[in-house]
Amino acid sequence: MNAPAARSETSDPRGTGADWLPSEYDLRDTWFPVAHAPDVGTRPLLRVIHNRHCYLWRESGQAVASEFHPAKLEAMNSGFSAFTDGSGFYPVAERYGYVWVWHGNPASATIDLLPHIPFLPMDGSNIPSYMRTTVRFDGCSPLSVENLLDLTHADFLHGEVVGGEGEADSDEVEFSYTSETVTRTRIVVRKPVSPVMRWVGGVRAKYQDFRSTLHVHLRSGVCISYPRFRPGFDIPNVQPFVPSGKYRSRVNQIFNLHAAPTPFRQIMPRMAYVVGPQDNSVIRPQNPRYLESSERRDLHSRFDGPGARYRFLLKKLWLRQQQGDFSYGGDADPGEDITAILGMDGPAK
Amino acid sequence: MVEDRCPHRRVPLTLGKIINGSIRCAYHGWTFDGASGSCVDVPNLGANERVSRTYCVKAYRVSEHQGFVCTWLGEGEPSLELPFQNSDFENAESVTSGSGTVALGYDNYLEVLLDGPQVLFEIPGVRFTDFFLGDAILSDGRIVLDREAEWGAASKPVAIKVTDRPLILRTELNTAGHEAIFRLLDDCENQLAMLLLSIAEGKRGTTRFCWRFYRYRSFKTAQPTKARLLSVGREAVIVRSAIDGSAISSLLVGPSFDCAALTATANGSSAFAEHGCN
Repeated sequence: MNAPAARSETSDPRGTGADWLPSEYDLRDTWFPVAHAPDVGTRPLLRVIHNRHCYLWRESGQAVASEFHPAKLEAMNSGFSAFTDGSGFYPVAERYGYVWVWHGNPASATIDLLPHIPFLPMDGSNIPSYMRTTVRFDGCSPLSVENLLDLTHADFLHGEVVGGEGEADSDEVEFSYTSETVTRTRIVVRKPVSPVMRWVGGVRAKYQDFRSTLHVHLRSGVCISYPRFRPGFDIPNVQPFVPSGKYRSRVNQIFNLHAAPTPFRQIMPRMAYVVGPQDNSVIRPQNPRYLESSERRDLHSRFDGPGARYRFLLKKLWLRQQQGDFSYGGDADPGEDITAILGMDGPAK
Repeated sequence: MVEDRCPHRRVPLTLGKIINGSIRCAYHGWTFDGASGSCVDVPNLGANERVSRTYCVKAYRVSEHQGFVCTWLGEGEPSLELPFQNSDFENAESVTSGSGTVALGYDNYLEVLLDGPQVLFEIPGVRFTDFFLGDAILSDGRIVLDREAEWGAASKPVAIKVTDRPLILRTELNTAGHEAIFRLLDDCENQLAMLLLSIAEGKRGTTRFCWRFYRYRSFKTAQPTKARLLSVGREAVIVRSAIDGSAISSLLVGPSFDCAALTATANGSSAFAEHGCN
């Protein structure tokens, strides 16, 4: 193997300059929804957050998470890290149908830092198994988040699923941000109804209006999506991109499709297994091309605003953490009520 | 072990024969002691003639260890431990071994071992995935990488739907080079099988390897019937000499990207020590 490039001890360890190196940005002090809560039982499950192994299981019904397999935990106690404060056990929370694990300094873990998801029941009840999916992506999680923020790829990658946005009367994108979140809203007037909504969802109108809000938490890659179709229904869902190292991520997606008719509500979550591979077909070859700083920087169009802002904020946050500052800025409250931000009328039933 | 070159007329000594513990060249019968390399016989010398002490072939230190014949190619005393230390060789239900040469350069071979080992070897009835469980890390002088694996035909593609797969394939590359261990683990990290792979640079951009595969009783216990049927009549492991060039070229760069930095961290600035196994 070739000798590595020299690495300096600065906040820019690979000499990255200003390039976008998404696999480098391993942000800390945040909750990751690492598993669907019903998947966690008495038999330990292995999950990975960035490059840290995390074993999940239940003791007396309570979810626990450790650095090593419980059968080897005692023998490995000399290897316990600062991520568990030397205890071997990560802070754990269970909410919205997920088991969340804290990645960072355990002393900073508070339940208030869990993201607010207004359309999912806090105790995780009444989420049928068909509304849960798990999909893998063959890239680091920021590439997937960027893909989700990006709207202009949909006509090309997902044309037969979403259908016809390009033919709308108007199509506007706006976004806002804090130091910890990016929120992108798309408002489309009179777009053709997608085939799946027409033939499976029973929306017989030819055209519909569409408003979709995506709220992204930078540290955790938790993406909270609220698409509203009129005529039609709402398809709120959560897509948390949990990084499994630099090259893969795992998404435990939960929909709330109680407003949608049967069989749409059963079929729509399965579309993740259609749309996911379509996105993965570009993310997979993208990933190796973002491992090293390149002289040839990416080009942008005016449609890339939310993604470009996401890049800027993520890198800024990472640089701050490289300097030892893991605090949340005054403008950022991950746990704040985002009902209005998502454009919901009120909490989902 | 001696150099494969008779100092008399440069004929490969591998064409010769072992006679009374010494190797005799097939061309003129010059005979050499394997340990020292000294020439012990030149046929047809007269009764008063002796073989010069300066007549010798280059000899190398050899040790047998865990089924491998290991050679020290460097000067002086070996500065490294014998390979495959601290591996679990006990309690294996079956042990198989083999060797080969593959038309892929040494550095590329090591990279493929991390990025896509399914191209280089197969355990019938087991499917390796390319879902990495984190990145490659440095542990006890080895680059260690876990990936998910499952029971099933290796030829079938991995499903997009992620379930909790029951197996882990752990790759361990010695940062000093030439040595790879693959451990097939169950979800409690119990070892079901282990492949030891010794790798060396071959001629003309090839890579030579020899391997030993240990399969434990727990392998059969854990293996579902369907997967067992898939492997009926097949060898316990297939380490490929003939590899698919298109599969190699289409393999995306993955954890091997971090190898150079991890190796440098482990070895400091020292160059790879020379050693090899046969």
